[in-house]
Amino acid sequence: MKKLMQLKSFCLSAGLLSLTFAAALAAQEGHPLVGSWHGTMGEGASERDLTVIMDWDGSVLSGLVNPGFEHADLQNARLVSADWTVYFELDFETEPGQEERCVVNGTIDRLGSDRRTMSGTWNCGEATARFEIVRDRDY
Amino acid sequence: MKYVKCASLVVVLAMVVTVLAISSGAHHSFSAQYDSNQPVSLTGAVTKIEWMNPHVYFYIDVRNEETGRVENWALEMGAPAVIQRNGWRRNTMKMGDMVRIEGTRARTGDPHANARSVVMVSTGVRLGAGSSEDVTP
Repeated sequence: MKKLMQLKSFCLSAGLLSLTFAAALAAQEGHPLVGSWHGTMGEGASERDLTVIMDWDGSVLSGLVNPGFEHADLQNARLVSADWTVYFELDFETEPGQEERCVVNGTIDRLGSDRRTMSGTWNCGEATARFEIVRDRDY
Repeated sequence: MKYVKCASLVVVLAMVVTVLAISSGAHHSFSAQYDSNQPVSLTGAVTKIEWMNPHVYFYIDVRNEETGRVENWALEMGAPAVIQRNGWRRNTMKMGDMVRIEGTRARTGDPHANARSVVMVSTGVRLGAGSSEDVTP
């Protein structure tokens, strides 16, 4: 009887351990910036929607802003993991038909969540706007 | 020895049930999720692609002409094997590509639809999306 109980306990533990490993594997994520992010920049009447898509090929951080509309490629993008700050530049359409060189500085919050956020400043020429984007959930 | 076999069988069965439960949770009847009386036609830029079973999903940014705001729509297609038979490959659609889709909106009213066809705007190529509209009830 005792042997049977030990066997059952062993099997149960093995089953739970397998499920734990499976859950842990499913929860693994790669580079914290990779994915699509949605949010806004500016305030009040000047608020506009913002979509940022980022990718990491193991050495270079790339991506684009507002795909299909005011589409712009990220340039000189980098992540500083010491304080989870993000930097990139882009030639961004600030007004219809008018592009400006913009510099973006952001900080990642809620790093452990797949719905992590990034907020900071979007500087185009002399104009500065706040932005906040949220990473789209993985399904 | 008999107990070992029995316990092993129980563990294997538990794992099979878990896997089936996860798969069936992602699969569904068409009419339970989508309303055939709500056809949608959308044009937008691809922001995300999830090439997985039981359904491939992709997401597009669509500008709402009334509000001027951008909505991110989730579009469901068939299983990877099904859409591959319709000419799809993993690199057929890339981030930022403009696409035009015809489909059926979700009953929830969320920006979510089942895609019937996808046209790549840059080339005009039209691909079936493996919709289950006429296949499952």
